[in-house]
Amino acid sequence: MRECRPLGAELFHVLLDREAGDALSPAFAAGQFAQLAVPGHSLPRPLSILRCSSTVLEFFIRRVGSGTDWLCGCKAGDLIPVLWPLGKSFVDQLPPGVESEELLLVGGGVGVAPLIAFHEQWPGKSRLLFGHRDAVGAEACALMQGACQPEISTEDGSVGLHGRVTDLLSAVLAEEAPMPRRILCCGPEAMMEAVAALAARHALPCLLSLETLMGCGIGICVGCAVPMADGTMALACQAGPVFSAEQVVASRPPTQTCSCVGAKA
Amino acid sequence: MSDLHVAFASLELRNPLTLASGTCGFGREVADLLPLHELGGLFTKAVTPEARQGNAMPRLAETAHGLLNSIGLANPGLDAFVADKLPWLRGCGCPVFVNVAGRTAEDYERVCRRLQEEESRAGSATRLAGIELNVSCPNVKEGGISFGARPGPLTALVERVRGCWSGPLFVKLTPQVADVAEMARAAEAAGADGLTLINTIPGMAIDLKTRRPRTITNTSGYSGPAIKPVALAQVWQAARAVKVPVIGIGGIQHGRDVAEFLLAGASAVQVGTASFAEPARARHMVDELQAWMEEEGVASAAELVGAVRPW
Repeated sequence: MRECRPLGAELFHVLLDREAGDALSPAFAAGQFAQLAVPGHSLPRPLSILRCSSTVLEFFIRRVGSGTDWLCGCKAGDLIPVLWPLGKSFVDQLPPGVESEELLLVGGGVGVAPLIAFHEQWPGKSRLLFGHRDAVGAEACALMQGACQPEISTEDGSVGLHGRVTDLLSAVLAEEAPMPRRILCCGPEAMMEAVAALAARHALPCLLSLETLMGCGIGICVGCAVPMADGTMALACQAGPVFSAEQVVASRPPTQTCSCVGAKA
Repeated sequence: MSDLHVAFASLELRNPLTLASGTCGFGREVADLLPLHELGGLFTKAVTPEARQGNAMPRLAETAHGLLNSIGLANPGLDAFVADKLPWLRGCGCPVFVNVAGRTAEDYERVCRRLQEEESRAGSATRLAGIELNVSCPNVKEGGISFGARPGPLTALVERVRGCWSGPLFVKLTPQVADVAEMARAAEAAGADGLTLINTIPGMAIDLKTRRPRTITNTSGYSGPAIKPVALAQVWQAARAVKVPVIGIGGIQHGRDVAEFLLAGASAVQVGTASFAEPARARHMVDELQAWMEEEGVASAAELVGAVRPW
């Protein structure tokens, strides 16, 4: 642990010093995640990677349960076993030849993390729409987003458009000028369902980074099976967490509560 | 250096640490994360005659001291196992045990007969180390636990499989019986070469907000450190009742836990839930066991087996 910076409203910027000899390869592609082992817990916590340099791994997370509570209580120098990068990225799931101008990146809450990562890895003219609950969320995100310049909505109207990110999206989709041809989305489940529905209405392909209850993260516990539209099941940790919206069945069980691919507890 | 080798039915394993069925996929999933050839062996995910998607979500619920799972024997089925998984497993450098499950005795027989046929085509160096019959899955309606709950059906099943599989045969028993010694003796008398104890224990957790059980099957299999004392007791009781080797499993997290299981009578152990948080945990346990043995002046792992000093 290098630093865990509180950003208000249970939001944290987590910075981990990388050790020589990271378990897997040193690079990551936006949308991939890391598994952080938590002492005394049977399951590691999956966190979407915000950014990584040769020395530091960064996350933007919400404290939601005992696992993230432990993480946010860690002190500089504490050792945290991390397995990364895991899963399929946005780029893995995009068809070849896609230009960034075509893309609309839609994020909610800490689900903005992989989208910021995507924008940094694939700089260009993709447009970003971020939704937050309130000014605290928006300000926290502003500290995370580097050079990104998202259009913002807040549910309490304190910053940007008063409403949800789907309102922002509806407005963008109603514009005449060059329409995006593809949506990349990560956020709370209800938000992603609404975004997927809007995308479908406008016949836009849409990628979702699913927040799914996850176990091991490497395909051995088989605990994160996501029902696919074709009737099969796919493991979110291996076939995902980024899926195309048409691939996944809309309704999932109501037990999954939190944000981004990130920690559920 | 203490000698970690253990005798194990007709096999000799380089150490007592193996990976449990359902927690290491078909080996390949973990091969980059730990050196399989430095383990005693691995037990594959259960293979059923037909492909199974498994249960709906949610399948996992973490509790204070363990994990509930309700996977539902998801696996690609016998044909896909033989075509896509078996060739890699044969070359993975560690003894491989295939876990077999089914709805009916015919199901078990079908899988085991096919594996026997495949074995006759394999070179002696790449043969399977054995079959582990899963007669104890708590998460599907007919997951074999109907065979593992009473001696009569267990005897019939083991005899039937014994008739079509000539290699080492292990039976993974459930802790949900009144007398585990009776079940252990039944399996041994029917021709089992060894026993695995224990499978998960039915458990439950409830989400207070939704008032829903936290796994889709309402009750599901409980594993992890919470069940270690139960597992140790069952291993001890079974090992005293039979001559065949017992493989201990249940909540093993550290090399010292391995030593406890060996003392209780296990000839080897399986690491399951602990691999989820740290895929290389079993490999680290090899070193931890070795260090403990050296500290204690124990020359060989084999001498620990059953060496508990009961009151």
